[in-house]
Amino acid sequence: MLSLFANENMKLYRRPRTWILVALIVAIVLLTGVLMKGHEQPVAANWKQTLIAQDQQLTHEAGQRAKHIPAFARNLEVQIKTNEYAISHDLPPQASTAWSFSTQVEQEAVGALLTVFVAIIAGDIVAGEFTGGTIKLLLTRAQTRGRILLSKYLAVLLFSVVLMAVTFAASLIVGGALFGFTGASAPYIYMNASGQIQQMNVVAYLLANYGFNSISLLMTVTIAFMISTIFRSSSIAIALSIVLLFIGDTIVQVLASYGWDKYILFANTNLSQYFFNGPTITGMTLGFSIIVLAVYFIVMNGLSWYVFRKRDVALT
Amino acid sequence: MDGQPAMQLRNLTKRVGKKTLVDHLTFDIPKGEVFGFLGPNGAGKTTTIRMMVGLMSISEGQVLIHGMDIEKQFTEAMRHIGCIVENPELYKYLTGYQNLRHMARMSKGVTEARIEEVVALVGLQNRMHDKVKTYSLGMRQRLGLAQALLHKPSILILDEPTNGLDPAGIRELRDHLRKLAREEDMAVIVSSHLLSEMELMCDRIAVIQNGKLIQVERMGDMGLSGVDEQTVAFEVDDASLAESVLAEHFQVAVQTSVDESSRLTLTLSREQVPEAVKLLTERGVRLYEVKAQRKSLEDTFLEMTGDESIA
Repeated sequence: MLSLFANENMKLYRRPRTWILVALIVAIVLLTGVLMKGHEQPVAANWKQTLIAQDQQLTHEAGQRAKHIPAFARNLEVQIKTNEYAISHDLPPQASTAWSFSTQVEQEAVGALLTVFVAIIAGDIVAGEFTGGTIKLLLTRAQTRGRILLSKYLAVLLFSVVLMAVTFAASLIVGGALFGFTGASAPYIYMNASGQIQQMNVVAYLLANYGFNSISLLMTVTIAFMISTIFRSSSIAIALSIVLLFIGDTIVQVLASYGWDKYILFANTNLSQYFFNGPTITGMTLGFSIIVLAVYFIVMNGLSWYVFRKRDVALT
Repeated sequence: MDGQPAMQLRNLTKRVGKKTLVDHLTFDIPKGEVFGFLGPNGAGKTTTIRMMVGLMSISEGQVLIHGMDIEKQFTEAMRHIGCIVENPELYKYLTGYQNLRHMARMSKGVTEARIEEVVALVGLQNRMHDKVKTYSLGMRQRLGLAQALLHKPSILILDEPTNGLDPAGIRELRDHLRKLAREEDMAVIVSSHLLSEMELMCDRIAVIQNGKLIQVERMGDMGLSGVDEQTVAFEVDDASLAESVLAEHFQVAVQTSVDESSRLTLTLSREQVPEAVKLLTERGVRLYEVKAQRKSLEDTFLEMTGDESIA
């Protein structure tokens, strides 16, 4: 089993493609850092006035076009409440630090990219063997198909961990170099699930973000891996996985009027909604989402396993 | 284990939907021989081979490898098998050596020394650390053979191994396979639709058509030698004299054709040929050529499979 895992890793990391993905992540982190440094503004002494002005503008906007789009209106509301909290607790906006930069990179710049890159690798890892005909090498050895599939799944999981670690390390190093490592004890202001504004340490928030994201990446791996196993063509598997992952949130919103849309996988992948900002669909709980995710996880992996074991390797 | 065939097919059947691709094949494949699997395109050769190496599920019947059922004891059975199914597919972005490392990790007890041994056997020492995408087809074939032999299998299965090889490559492969069968007592199974190729390579041939077994024969028995009656052609200077002499002596019909040279053909037994030569010479007929027109494997094959075209 260990040697099969070693094989999969060898095949993964001996390909230039894998390293191009890693290099792209580093490049984007670097670019984000440079751009943010260029637009950095010192915290003004009259920051309270600025926030009050901002609040007025946001309230105005909420009454105008935002009222037709519930999600947008909600965002504005959170923003306004956060500002009010900062003013009343005398918490000035923090200058960027390595910690806040790393969080921002993960949320706004690289997060979606991680999903795409993981989908590329997971989508190709089984289908690629079929496309290249090399599946025949794997399946005509004294190894069961289940073990071969498991070794591939584990290799993709390791790759996701590597990508996350690269993002984490790169964003901290770039952030530290540009903004300094100070301010590790600074507060992060957020709205919790029950609508109260609270604060937590930035470093804790950073780690929580990576934690929640790793769960959604795990589901991404599982979906792309299943598609890869079923479709046997790496281009179809990669394209389909990425499309599915991107329209996933849209599907949830489109189907929001139906009662069963909370059972859709994509409504549950982001567990941070139970800690920050509250669930997108009211009435969902953390326990509910965990059960839904677990069911999807078992069904999708079970399907991959069943299809892979039963499949006739016909003319390729 | 001695005396037992290396591989046994028992009523091996593959159905896909309503079509029966392979229909109750039963035969044994002995050790130490090159076993040919012959049939026109679409006869079910590749499907059979895919079932023999576990790439396809078996609808009915069994494949036994040294007595072990390939479905029930897959890993134990597969330990004895090395194969190339169709083209030698390899990881083109890895080097030859990395490809072999990859295969070595999948089998028990393949040492670094064994990898070197196999590389030397197929003569790829100088290119081992180049990426496979830079290899020629012949080199890929050799690397494919190396990966198939790596874990010292006792059964080697090659599907259409001569596809895309030049004559020198085919000859090299043929010598290689015969050597493996002779010296390592390996059962080598080769499939092909190229009759001439099989004729040179195999000790025994199974002919299949439409998924059914037509015949399993040792090469020597397939009308190639030792057959009693054969058509013999004589090229002589005086056709009419020769014709009367031969017709009178052997009491058989003699066909004469006189085009550029005078040629007589008649059916004689093997022992009668020198007799006829002696007779003609004694009567003063000048003899330029005597040729036994043996039935080629191709004729036998066409006879066996009938004339209907499949492909």
